[in-house]
Amino acid sequence: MYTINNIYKSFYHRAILEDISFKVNQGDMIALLGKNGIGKSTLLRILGKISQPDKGTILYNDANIYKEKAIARKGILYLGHDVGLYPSLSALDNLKFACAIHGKKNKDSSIISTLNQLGLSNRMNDQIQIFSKGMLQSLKYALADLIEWNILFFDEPFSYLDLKGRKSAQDYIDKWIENSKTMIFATHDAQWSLLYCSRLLLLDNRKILFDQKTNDIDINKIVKILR
Amino acid sequence: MMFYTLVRKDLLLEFRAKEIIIPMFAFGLAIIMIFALSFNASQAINHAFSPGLLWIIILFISSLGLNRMFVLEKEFDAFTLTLAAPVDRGIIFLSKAISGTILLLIAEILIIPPFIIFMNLTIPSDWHIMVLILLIGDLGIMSIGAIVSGLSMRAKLSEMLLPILFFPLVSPHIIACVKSTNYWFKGLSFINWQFWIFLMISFVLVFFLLGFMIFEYITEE
Repeated sequence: MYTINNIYKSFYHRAILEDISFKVNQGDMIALLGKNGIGKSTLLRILGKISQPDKGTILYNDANIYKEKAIARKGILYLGHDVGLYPSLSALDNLKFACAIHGKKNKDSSIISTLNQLGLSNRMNDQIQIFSKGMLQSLKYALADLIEWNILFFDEPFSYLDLKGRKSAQDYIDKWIENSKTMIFATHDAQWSLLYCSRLLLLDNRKILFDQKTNDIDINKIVKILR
Repeated sequence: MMFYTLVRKDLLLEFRAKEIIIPMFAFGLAIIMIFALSFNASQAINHAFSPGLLWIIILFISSLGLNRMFVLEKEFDAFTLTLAAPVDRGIIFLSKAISGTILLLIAEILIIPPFIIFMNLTIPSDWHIMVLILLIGDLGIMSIGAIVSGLSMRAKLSEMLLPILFFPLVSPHIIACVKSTNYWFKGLSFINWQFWIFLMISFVLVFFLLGFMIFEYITEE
């Protein structure tokens, strides 16, 4: 479904990623782990075509996402570490716009229903610049729920969420797992990764240190590397 | 359809935030006041200089508007929402150039009446030709501006980089705008100054095509 071949990336002549290659199959739920500044977010930005790799290719359903027309990327959803929505627009306007550019026309009622599930429907007409960070994080789940995607790249899925928000987020992820959705999460939560993800990809020293199924992995080994 | 969605979003952003047109108007009005009060010239001199002064004002306010337009995309890293979507980057460029032109035209509608009043100008009856000059002029300014803004967006000193790159690139187009406005103002027949209009149209076509083709590369990190 998604094939990453020999990706290299550097910033200001400093190599961040070197020779990154792996395949993502339909239904894979991958946790991308690594220390701070190791290049997890950069890799996700490259996969989401926000950032251009210096070398290498990325194939999505056999189409090179950096060479083919934009329509070849339909079905890819990238949710970055930052909010990725317009602060001056309301939650409703942001979600309507996001759905429209992903080629899905949602009725206001379905957007409101999703916002209601996340406890945000009473604030849907407020500009999101006055939202708390947790509310903004919840909006990303509303976005992922409303857009039809085949593969999701999600950077730090649980940042800023309180217990209730985390429960709602986990409910959405459980629903996506049930529907055999393909997802890659960049996270620091090794325990959660081992519990929920099917594969674990550990980045260290600009390369993939290992890429294994989670049921073969000992958590102590991960913790030792991440320390 | 996608183009319309993107233009609508840019206009909605301005409608909600009111961070582009009002500063453009305020800045434009301030320059008009400075020109009107400091020159204190006769009507004939005002007539001779007003085409150049008008386009200097338009150039300054457009650079202010362009800067704000792209700053709104940088806040909350909102531009990634559009970049990550299955939308051709060329379409994103076109939408930026067109929404910028619409916002600039609105600012001009607000600025030109005080400009005429304070500079004590008499406007020729065929004012619709001036509307055409403004439209072509604005399309050229915003197509060049959208390319430069996209280019400087990821730069650390983008606010400084924008005018440094934008003003030299847009100068030939502005000169053509000033020449056209001047000849129209003098009441010369179009046939005598059609060259300048065709030059402006050429600029618009070249930079729209260029922006459509290269926006893919200039927006990537």
